[in-house]
Amino acid sequence: MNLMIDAKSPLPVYQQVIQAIKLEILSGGLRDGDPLPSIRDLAKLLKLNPNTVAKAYYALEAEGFSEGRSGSGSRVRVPPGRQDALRRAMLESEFRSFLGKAVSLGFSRDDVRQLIERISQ
Amino acid sequence: MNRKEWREVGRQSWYFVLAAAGMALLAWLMDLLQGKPLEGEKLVIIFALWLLVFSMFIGLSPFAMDSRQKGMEYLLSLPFSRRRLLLIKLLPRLAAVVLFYLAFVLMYFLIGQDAFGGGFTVFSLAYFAMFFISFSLAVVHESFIVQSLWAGVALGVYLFLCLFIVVLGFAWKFRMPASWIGSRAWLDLSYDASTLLSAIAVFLLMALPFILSFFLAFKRFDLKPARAFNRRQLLVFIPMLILAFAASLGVTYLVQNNSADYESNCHILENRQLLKTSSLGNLDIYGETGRRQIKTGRKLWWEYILFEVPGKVFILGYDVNDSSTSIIRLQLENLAWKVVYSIPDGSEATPGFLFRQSGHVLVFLQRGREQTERSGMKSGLSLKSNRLDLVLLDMNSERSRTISFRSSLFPTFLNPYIFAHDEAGGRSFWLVSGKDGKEQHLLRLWEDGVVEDLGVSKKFPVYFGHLLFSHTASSLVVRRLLASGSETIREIAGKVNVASDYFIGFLDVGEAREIYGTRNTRIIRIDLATLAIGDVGPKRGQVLRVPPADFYYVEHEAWLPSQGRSDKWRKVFRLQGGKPVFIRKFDFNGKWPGHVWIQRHGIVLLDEVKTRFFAFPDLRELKFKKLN
Amino acid sequence: MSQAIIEIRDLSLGFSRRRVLASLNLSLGAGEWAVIAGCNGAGKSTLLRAIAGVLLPDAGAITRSAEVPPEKIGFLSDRLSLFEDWTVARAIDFHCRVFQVGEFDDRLVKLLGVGPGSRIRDLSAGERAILHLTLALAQKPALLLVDEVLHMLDPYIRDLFVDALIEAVSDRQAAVVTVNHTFSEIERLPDRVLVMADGRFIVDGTPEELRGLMKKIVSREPLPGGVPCFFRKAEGDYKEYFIYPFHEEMRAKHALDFQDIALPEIIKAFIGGGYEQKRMA
Repeated sequence: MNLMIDAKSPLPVYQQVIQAIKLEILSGGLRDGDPLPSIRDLAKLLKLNPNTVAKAYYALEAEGFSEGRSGSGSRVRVPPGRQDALRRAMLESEFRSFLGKAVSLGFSRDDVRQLIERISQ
Repeated sequence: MNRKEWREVGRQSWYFVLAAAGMALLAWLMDLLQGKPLEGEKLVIIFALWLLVFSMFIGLSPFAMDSRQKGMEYLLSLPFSRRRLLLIKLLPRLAAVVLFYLAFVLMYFLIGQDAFGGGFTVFSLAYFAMFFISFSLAVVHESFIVQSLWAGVALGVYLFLCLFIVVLGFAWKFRMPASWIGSRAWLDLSYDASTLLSAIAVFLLMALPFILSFFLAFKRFDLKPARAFNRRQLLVFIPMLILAFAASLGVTYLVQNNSADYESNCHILENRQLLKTSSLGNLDIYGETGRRQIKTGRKLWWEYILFEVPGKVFILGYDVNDSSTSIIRLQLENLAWKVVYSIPDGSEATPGFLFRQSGHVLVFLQRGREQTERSGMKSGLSLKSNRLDLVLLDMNSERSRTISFRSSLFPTFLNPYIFAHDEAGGRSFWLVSGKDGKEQHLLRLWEDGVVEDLGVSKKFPVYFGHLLFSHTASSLVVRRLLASGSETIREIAGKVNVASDYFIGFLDVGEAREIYGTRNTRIIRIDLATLAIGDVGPKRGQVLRVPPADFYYVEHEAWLPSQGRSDKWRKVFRLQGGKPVFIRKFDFNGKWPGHVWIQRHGIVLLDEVKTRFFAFPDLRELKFKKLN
Repeated sequence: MSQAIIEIRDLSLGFSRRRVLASLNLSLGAGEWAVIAGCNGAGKSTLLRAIAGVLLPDAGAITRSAEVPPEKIGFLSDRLSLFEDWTVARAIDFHCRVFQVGEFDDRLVKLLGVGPGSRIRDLSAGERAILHLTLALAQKPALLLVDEVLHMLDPYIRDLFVDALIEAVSDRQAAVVTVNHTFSEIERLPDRVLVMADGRFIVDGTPEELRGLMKKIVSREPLPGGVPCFFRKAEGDYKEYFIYPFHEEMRAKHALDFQDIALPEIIKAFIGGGYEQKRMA
């Protein structure tokens, strides 16, 4: 498992935890049916407040990415069909932030498009 | 937590026991080097002083260990309320203090009963007071030295205030100015039950502000500097101390003012009436029909009933205002009273019980102004000069005459008293005995001012049937006094005691044929004609002389002091013709020891509950109206 | 947040002439993790001592709910006070008895290799901190008060120390109050950050709120008007401006690079600003 939390990010920590776990699911680090680390273990691993972890787990459960009692009993659930949508959404959000930076560097959309084509060849 | 404190106290106590044992060993070694055995009394005094140190140390110690270990913050973070914490600290220490005291009391009664004289009570009270005062100063300062300084100062102030109240109590009890009692009052804290009780009450009440203010302030005890705590404690302490002082005064007044001063205040008169000196300046005469009273306001304190001649009584009194001592004549008929002799300002007479009557003459010893060196006490007459006056007061004419004597023997003469009056070769003389070192020194004072040395006696001498009985270490010497000097008639070996007349005011013994005394545990009779000694019976009490020349034996239910309890009854026998003749049995009520006081005209029975009066010769009980 | 387990109202406390806490208010819920920061002498340790009952308030009140009886307060003071003459074994035995601890978990102490027979006064500061924490945790505290002791510990032990605190919160919903100067290890732990200055709280919020409210601008130019600068730090030609309170509208109004900063730096800025204000006053 490789979960990253960015201390400087203005994004609340529990959302970062959610993102990190979703990313782990998408990248195949966590598969359907895998047990989620217990709140206590994850808090100790990431040096996070257990309440923060619990909050993230609740959110994940509400979104359907885990089931069972929150905490030690939770297991990963990957809702069929949602995986792709999620993957797409995350790529999109990464792309948006990339685009934003490109624009602030003074590039036009065409510049970006050409760049992508050149790199992907 | 409790276990920690018990362990701590146990260890500290153990160190103290070791140190005390070390000191005892040292004292023993030092005595050994000087070639004498270790005295129990010395040991007791060493231990007593050590105990005072112990009670201070253990009182100051509760937080010393914790603070030295840097554990105060930890201690205060423990889940105990402040009050609980203090109790946890107090109880083991109090237990140690009590235990040590009990051990000390045991030792005291085993080996050193005379170590402090009457000071044992004050020691006990000071010991416990020291503990409580020290305990209440346990957090006064971080440094133990400063703490103990404070404890010393506090104990000093405390003892001063307590003894001040006790002295006032004596003043109220004996109806005299406090200045007469002086600083030695602390020796008499167990003078009687009421004095002891009020002293204990005073010591307790006065200790309360210390411990209470500490407990109250301790509710807000924390890690702040001691000064804030001290200020808070002081703020509670001062009003409490004032209250306690007032309460102590009140209790002492109530107890002491209402407790009978029975030593000198009841006197059965020849006409079977009762003369009683009561509260300040009051004198009452009780008869079967009622009471007559003299009130002098607070002006006069009737101190000692001296003598009675038909129709009048002579009483020793103090004028409270100018502290002069006077002999007062009281007419029984109309209660008119008059000062017939006033002891000159600044001079001193022998105490009232050493005044003597011889016929119609009242006789006593006095030393004049220029010879007086006040010792601060009224009870002793120590002569620093070589002059002594004999005062003769004719009770009929009420005129007095003084004979002055000079002798180099007088300056070492302590508490001299007259024990006989007789004549030889047509000249009158008085026999005087005074304490000289550990012995009595006997002198003959001739009416013309000559002083004659009659040697020493180990115990009080007796003069009976024109014979002088004095004691050597191992015998009783019987002498006949000549116109000059004396001749020894007989020396009776063995420890023979003859009933002393130290407290007997009558010098006229008449033509007596026998005297009684004791030898070891037996009562004996000495025939004055043959000087033969006869056995009368076992002695389980006291043999007394009652004027003019009667002897009584008072048998005590509990005689030996080692039985350690007071009597339930006493039996009075008249000793006559070598036999005890049973007269009466007196039962006591109450816990405190009673007293049978045989007077010239009757017997006064005193105990905790009431005072009863029996008149000679038939010992009929006298009932007086309005006498409580 | 659950109901308050401890409620502090108008707490004032001082030593002789110095007033350390001034009408301070705070309420803490179960499971809440608050970190108190502030300059030296701001009153942090005094506050912890007052909550622990070691110091008593001059005015105001500290009320504890029924869930926090005295034996459920674990207190690690910066003095690490214990009875120093005692051995570790005796101290543990005593603590367990007094605080009615059933079972004692001595893993941490064992890990250090401190023998039960060693005297407490012979332990190093870090060893004592761990012993003390172990004792406090053994109480199964509902409230854990931890003064700044992290800096005494080596990085590995520091990690274990923090893990132990995390376990206390996740297992028993303990409320934790820590006082910290060294922040990097624990910056993501608190759900509440309190900054003290002159005996009162000048900041009280969640880390997210604080991150949202304070931004940094590094620039050679002076700040335009309307941008509130809480604290300014000069680095040669460049100046670091700490903007507080920050609103998102400022980004639209001003063409400035408002940088996001991490909690340790935010707190440093608050403390620095506190000093600045003190100097001005």
